Amino acid sequence: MPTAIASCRVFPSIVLSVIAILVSQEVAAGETTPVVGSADKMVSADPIVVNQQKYPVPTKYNEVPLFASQVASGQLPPIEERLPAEPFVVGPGVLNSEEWLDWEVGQYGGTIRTPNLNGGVHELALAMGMTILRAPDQSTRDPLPAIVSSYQISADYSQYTLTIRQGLKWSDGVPLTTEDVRMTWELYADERIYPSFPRKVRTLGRGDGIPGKLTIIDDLTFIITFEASYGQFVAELSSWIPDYTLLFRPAHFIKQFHADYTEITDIQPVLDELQINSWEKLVILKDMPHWELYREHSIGVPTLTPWIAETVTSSVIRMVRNPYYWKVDIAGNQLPYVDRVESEVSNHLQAIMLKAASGEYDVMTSYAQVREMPLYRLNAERANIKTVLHGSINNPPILFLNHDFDYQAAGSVWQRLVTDPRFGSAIACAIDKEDVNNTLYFGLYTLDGYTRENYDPQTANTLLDQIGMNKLDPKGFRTDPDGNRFELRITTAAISPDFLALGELLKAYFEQVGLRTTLDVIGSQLFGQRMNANQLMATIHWSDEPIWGPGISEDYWPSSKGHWAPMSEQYFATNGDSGRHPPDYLQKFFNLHVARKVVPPQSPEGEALFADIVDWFSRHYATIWPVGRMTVPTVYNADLGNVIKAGYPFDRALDYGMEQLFFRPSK
Amino acid sequence: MTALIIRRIILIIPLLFIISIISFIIILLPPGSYVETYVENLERTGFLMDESQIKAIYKQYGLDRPAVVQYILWMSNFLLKGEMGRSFIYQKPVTEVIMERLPMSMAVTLISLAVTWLLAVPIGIYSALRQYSIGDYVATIIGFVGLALPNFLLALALTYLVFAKTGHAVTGLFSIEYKDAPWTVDKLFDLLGNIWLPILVIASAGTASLIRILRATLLDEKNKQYVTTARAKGLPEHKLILKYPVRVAINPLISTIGWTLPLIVSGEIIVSQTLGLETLGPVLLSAAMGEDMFLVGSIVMILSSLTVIGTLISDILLAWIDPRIRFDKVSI
Repeated sequence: MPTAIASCRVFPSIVLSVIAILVSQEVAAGETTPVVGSADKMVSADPIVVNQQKYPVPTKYNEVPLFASQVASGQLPPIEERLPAEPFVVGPGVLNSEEWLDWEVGQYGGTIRTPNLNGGVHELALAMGMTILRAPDQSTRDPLPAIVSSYQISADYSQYTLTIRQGLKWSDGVPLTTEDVRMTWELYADERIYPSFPRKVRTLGRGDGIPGKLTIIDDLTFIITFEASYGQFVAELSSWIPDYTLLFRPAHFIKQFHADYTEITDIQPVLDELQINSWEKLVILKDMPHWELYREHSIGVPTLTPWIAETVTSSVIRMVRNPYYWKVDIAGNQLPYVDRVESEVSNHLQAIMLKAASGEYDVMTSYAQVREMPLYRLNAERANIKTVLHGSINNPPILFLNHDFDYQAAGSVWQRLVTDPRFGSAIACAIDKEDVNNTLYFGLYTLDGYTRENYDPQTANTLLDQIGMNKLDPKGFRTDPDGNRFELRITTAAISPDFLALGELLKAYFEQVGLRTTLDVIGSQLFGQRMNANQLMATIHWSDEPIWGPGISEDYWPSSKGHWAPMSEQYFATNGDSGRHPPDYLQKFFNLHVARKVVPPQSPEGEALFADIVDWFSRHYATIWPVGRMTVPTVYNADLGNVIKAGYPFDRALDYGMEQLFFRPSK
Repeated sequence: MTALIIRRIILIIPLLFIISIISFIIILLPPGSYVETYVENLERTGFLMDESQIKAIYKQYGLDRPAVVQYILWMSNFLLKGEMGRSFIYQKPVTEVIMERLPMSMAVTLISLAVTWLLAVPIGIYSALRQYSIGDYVATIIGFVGLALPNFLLALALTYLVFAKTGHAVTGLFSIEYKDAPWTVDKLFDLLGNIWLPILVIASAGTASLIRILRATLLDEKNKQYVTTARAKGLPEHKLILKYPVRVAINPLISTIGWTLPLIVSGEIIVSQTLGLETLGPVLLSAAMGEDMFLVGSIVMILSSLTVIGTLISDILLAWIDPRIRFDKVSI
């Protein structure tokens, strides 16, 4: 709290808004954990209003050299006319917190080269993620208005009033208006295009929630009203996963492919050329999510991203800066600093490693792993590259125990075991966390996962004896409590090399305490299908734990990366039409999850509820954590500026915020 | 002869039809579909797609329809409009994807083939005529090593050597600035600077096996009576060798032309994959892994058709070059 107040003194321009947030949160925090659906309990504070930036808008802008000749010849308007009336100002602590980045004013020019595996560029998928509100790093706490110039959230988090930045333009120069929001809502509601209204814009993000009601006030201001409190929507507005496309689709562009707006005879030539047989499919193709904005079919699509696709072939991607990009730095330079982004297709991972080590990439935030550090360090000088070690938005692979497995069988042994916390605890105690860390991760990962138990095989044995697994079969393994053969079946897919290695280690640990364990490695698609069919007892997979707290990811969900209660989840999602009626302890998880979505995830109540969820996981052993958080490297050009500091808790800092990177003149 | 060719061509039609069905079934065999792979890849990057978005993609690609309907639509478009469908991965018509890669596939394969023949034929002849000479042993050793060493391993080793020596990663046929540039002298030089490695790798195995085949056949032929007869008639030695036994010994080369034709299109898949060549091979592989069914289906169809056509051409060529075959066939 003191740091928040201190920063208010430093940046008086946002004092009012921050105080508003603090007040609203403090009042709400004084109350007990909200009960599901009774949001009216919290209507005691004023609405949250944020309409300021962290830094004043520069008085003068510096024209981009790349566009100088086009501006001179009149092909492009000058920078003042391209920018919004008040652009979003980037300085220290805006895109990344000051703790992790010593932000500097950069300079124009250069080309960023990124790796590309078979046409997929993780770096660009994130670099294109332009959020509607923006908080530093991977936070969704008290975000600044970004694409909008102000936002107001009603005290019960059910009504969101947003005002688009005046004069903000699509990459083709057409102004962004509420017509684009209206068009988005129209597409969402049109069953010819979207089979169902997206979950994230329904109340509480539930598939059966009533869609948010859109009210357009004028060209720039609109209101989204949910039928009940939906604080998680703050996180959706600040998350790079849905990003701006959640609310803004380029109406003027989409309409030319839409039969309700354009004569089908005018659309037909496009359909013929692209070999597409209906205009609906054409609209779906052109109405694209931001992670496709570097693909060939995105050429010509108006965007709000720092770079736009220029040429894309099956062997190279070239993007060029968006002349109408709406962010500037504190010194009046239009972002991005770097003019171009280039990405050459590689066919396999080894080629990417080799190219990274020979300095052919300026930013490589994906693929690099700790075990390749010697390669990058050895070649650092020759290739002019640097590496930085930091955390990740992913957590290392964990063991999921499926609490719905075999639930329909009468007297299921697995159900008896998995619902007995002593079984989960015994499994957790059998795992030598330090050994996992040293064997697989060079001892660089943390040990503070959601599993509180430490390595203690003796306790594991005692617990297993207590639950009736105290008899041995002829092979020397424990039988189940009924005296029959028992087998813990762990299934995984070769999605990452450490899945298999971890599986082998777990098998060894579990067999040491007498549990017969088998490890099945199957194809990743089969893995997904078997999980969906609730056929797997236990699985190994990673997830996005570091960004669960901010509400950016919620893949702790029972049917997400590793399925730990898929049938109960189905019951929850279908309101009891199908699936398994969850036992009380699982129902408690769903209650916590729903309650959490009522408030913004990083509000005090939201954080308290998230702590309850973590506690739930620790006590019910749906996930078992051999290690805690990852350490991964980013490989980058040594001349690059605004690079994150070592130890940053997440990764992807050089792509999510790529617009602030710049090249220093080579020494 | 003409009747034979016509009969063979008529046989090709049902054959291609069967191939098309089999390749479609093979494409559908692996679990899941392109959309599942796509969603899964996104999830690995951290993106979780909304169910409604996923359903929209299924609809867009027509994957919500039964497999038989998908096949019939694909085939009818192919036959009626000459359209091979759209690639899911590249989001454009399959024909465009193939045309983008085809020229380099052809160039790499044809140049390697030329290098292979230019090296293998003289060395093979030399080896056979000077059997058990030092030169023959050297050629034999090189031949065996070339045969035994997998292409991709040689490619990896050479790539690593070049990287260790120069710090430059040899990958692809062009430097990045020329990848999509129009043809210029600079681009040509850039290509020449990069193409030697794949040519060397691809030609090595081909050369090795051809030397062995040519040597073996020529050894059989050179002691036959018609050679002795020709020599007795006073024909100069070089003319004699080239005109009679070599002409027969070249038959295995001709009969494998049929397999060269699909290779011209696909390029050496594994070497292309290892070296990141801009040929059609890596596109086929990644399309197969990504379950981009119309792209895979179309490439497999093209390759199968070319194999069938290539075999036909081989047969015709053989009949033309080798009178024995010609007369045999006619007498059938």
